[in-house]
Amino acid sequence: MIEMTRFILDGFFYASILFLISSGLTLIFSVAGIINLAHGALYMLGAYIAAVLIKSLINTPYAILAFPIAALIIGLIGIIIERGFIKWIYEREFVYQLLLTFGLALVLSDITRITFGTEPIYVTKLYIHAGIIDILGSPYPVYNFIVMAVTFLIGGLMWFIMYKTRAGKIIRACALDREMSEAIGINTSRVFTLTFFMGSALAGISGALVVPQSAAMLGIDADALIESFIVIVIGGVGSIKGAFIGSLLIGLIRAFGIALFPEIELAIVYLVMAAVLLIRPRGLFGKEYRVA
Amino acid sequence: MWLRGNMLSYKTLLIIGLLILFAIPLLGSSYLDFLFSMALIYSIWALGYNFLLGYTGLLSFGHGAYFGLGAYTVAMLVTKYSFRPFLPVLGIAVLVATFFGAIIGFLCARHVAKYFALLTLAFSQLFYALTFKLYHWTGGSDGIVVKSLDFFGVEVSAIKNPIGYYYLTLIFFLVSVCSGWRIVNSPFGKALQAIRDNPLKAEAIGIPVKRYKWYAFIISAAYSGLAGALFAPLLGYAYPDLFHFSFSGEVLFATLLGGHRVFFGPVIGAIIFTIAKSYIIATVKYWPLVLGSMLVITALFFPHGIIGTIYVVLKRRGSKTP
Repeated sequence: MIEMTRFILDGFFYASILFLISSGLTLIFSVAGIINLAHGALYMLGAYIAAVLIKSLINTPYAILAFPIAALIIGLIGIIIERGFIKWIYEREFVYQLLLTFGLALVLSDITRITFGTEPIYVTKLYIHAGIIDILGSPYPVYNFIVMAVTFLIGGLMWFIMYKTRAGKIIRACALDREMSEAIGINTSRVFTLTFFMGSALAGISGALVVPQSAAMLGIDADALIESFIVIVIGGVGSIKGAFIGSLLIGLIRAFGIALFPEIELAIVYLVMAAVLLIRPRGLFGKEYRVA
Repeated sequence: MWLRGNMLSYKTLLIIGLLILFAIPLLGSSYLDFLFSMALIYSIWALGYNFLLGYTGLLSFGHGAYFGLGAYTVAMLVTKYSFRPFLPVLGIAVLVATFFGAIIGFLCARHVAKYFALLTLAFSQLFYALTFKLYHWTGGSDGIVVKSLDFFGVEVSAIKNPIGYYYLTLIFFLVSVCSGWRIVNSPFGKALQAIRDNPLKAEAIGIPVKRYKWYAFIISAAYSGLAGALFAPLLGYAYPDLFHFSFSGEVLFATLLGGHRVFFGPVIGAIIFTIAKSYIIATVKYWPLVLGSMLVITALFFPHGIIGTIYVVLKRRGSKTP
């Protein structure tokens, strides 16, 4: 029973991180129609930036600022990517859109390697500093709870922005029909830029939040990208609700898989994805998509 | 002008190209033999890849998986199980790649465009992760060294006999080109092009779209497997990065470099790509950065590839002067 609680809590922790990454990816897709393959690289870059910042501020209370700063920097990089590159190819065949973001992913991850080196950066001090709490008789790190709480806050904020503000209404209108929104006087290109900022900042914050618990290292870009793909394929591409349910599902499967069958944990995740694809090709909450 | 359907000069160019390929070992440089063996292997891979990209209009980010499966199957059979006859080993490797291509293709072919690309990427990373998880079997990040094979009593080794291995690759390359040409120009190939141009219309005139996409996927997986199977003995080594999605990006780039709407585009793209890659790696350390930048530039400025751009320019010039 005690172990069970631990697995479930671990599952929620994985799910929190997954939700932050995949909601950014799915947000950009639903509004701009672009699958940003550089999303994982942005996540990794966010992790590195946060790691370096935390390391230099570790003995001051300002260390906590590393998280919003990393998110902000990655968000700005998202704007640069959108304004500098993606802007030119919205109307082009999807092959070129994917090709472009794929190229950007390679460039960004190599720049990360060149800038920060190949050695992982550990900042576990913050993780240890947060302490341990007793949950039903078993100790559990407080940091994981903080991450879950932050995720809930961010998720709530996203819901508020999307459904309770004028900006959110405009974003949703653009996602629904770009031409029509333009016709009624919405500056859609600015909306797209804003969306890239938000989506990239989500990648940045999730990378930053992972750092104290594990490390900033090379290769986490591909893992993050693939896992968030799996999440949004299960949940339905373009659906934030789907990203939420998908993250919970994959997070829990991973937590139990790692603990009980570490060898085939990954295979289980893929099997679940394959099963969802066979039974419901558009994902649990995906809209019916058009051919081609 | 030769691109505009003048069959005679088209044939002349083909024959010149073929003569050059046959003459390369005469230059007497074993490095060139190695380089061009590699180029031909990439060409086979790109040809297979183009069944999907150019002829069916499906973008895969996961064809490193079938290439890697081919390479790993050869490596395992030869080194772990000491099963060395060349042709059977090659055959088994192609079968393994085709088998996995059939399973994954079945799941992916039900999806269109972007979703298809996502799924292929995800599945290739599955193999990447598995090579590390099953390290006691696959050698993990060390990969597997490939010992020499045996071709009807003659030792097949790219190091000891680079010329022999080059000609062996050339034969497989020619077989792939001829069979690829046949497939593309068969009724099945034309049906694929119909699916590419308009899946709804294709469905309406009675083409089983999903099934044909699946077949195209299987065929291209088989070609990729063959390329991988030839690659492992050439390099003497199979390693997990073959499954990584940045490696799949290489075949995509080679194909687009040459132009995916022309049958020989991927071949020329692959040859240029291999030569360029070997020189770039020799001079700078930042291969992914260079590859990524080239992909970005191609996506933004050269959507038709090298051959495609020449073709477009020639066409434009031709229409100006009646």
